[in-house]
Amino acid sequence: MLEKINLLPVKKPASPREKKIRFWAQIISLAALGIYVVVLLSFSSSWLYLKKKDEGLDKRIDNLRRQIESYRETEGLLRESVGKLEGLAEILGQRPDFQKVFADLEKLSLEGVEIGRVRAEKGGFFRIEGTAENSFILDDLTEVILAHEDFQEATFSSVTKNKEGQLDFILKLQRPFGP
Amino acid sequence: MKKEMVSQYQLKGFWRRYSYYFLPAIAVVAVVGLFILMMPQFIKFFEVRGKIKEKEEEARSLEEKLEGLKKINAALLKEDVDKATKLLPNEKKVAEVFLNLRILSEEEELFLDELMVNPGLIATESAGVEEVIFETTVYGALENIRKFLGRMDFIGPILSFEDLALEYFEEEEMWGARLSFLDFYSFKKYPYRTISPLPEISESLGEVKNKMKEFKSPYLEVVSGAVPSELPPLPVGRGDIFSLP
Repeated sequence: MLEKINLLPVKKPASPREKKIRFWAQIISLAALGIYVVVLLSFSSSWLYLKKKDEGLDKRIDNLRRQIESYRETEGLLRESVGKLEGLAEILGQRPDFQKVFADLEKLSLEGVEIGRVRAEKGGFFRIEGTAENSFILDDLTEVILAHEDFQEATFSSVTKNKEGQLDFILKLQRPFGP
Repeated sequence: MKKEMVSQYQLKGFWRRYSYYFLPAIAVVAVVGLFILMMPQFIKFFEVRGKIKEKEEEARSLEEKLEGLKKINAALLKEDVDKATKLLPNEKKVAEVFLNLRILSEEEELFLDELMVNPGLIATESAGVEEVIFETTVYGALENIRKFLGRMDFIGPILSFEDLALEYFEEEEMWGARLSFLDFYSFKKYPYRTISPLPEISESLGEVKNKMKEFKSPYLEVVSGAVPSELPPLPVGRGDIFSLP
């Protein structure tokens, strides 16, 4: 009678530690699969929600644009108004105040000094041509100029004696902030 | 037969040995495989989410713009634009500037010499403003010249002095003021834009807007009949150039 002999290697029974590890491996795998399925489901529902939201936003934006389009003329007017005001602000900001020139001339009026010609340029430059009765009055004029905060860099570029014995002068001045 | 038995035994052995790893292996393959397969979808998901944020922002700004537009009184705005255009026209107004000066000089009892015009430099590129240079001389009493220059500061189209030379003429016993000044016109176009927000009238622009009321065009006042004058109307040419005289 033939004896049944198992020639295959005998399987060793698993140790309790090994059994424990295997058990937890199964549990963790199941949990991982479960979590993964939940994540997938929530992802797909979020995806659908996003798509809907995206479509809704597209419609909303189209609708708003159409409404804004109906105010096209008003918007054009507003842009033109602001553009013009900006242009005017720039011009007014740079515009010299030549009224000040006259006020400054009054500051320079002194007995014995006759102003014949004044040239005022943008940037606050003045060139004043005049006649003074004598050199003392020119000194007084210099003092008047230096005493004023409105002037700086006052220089006599020319002082000559004329036929009447008076002094013809050319005075160059600069106002710090204008005209 | 023997071979088949051996392989069956081998399979059974293999299964007994590794069956515990079957589920973890499936879990790993499923997680990794699906993750790789779903990757493009994930990327697209985050892209769409980013786009939605942008679209929400756009919708919000469009809503604000629409609200702003609804609040605007178009009739008042048109008036403001008309006023501003009188000060800063869209085209050169040389004749109007000349007539304004002529009216002012007459009112201030000054003699206005010839007017020289040198067109057109770009004054401010950003604001789209071009300037025309004028030169003239007025003669008369110094006080009248002072008043004349003061009034020139408040006429429209707006002017800006560049250079002033005052000279006293002893023989004629009067002063002469050689003036160099600029007239401005705006060449900028204002394209309509749906997406960009509405421009705002800032505090400083509001001040300019209020200041506009102080400006007048003596010529337009005469034309409208507000001020009587013997000045002829500004020639505008024939309406229909093909009509018979």
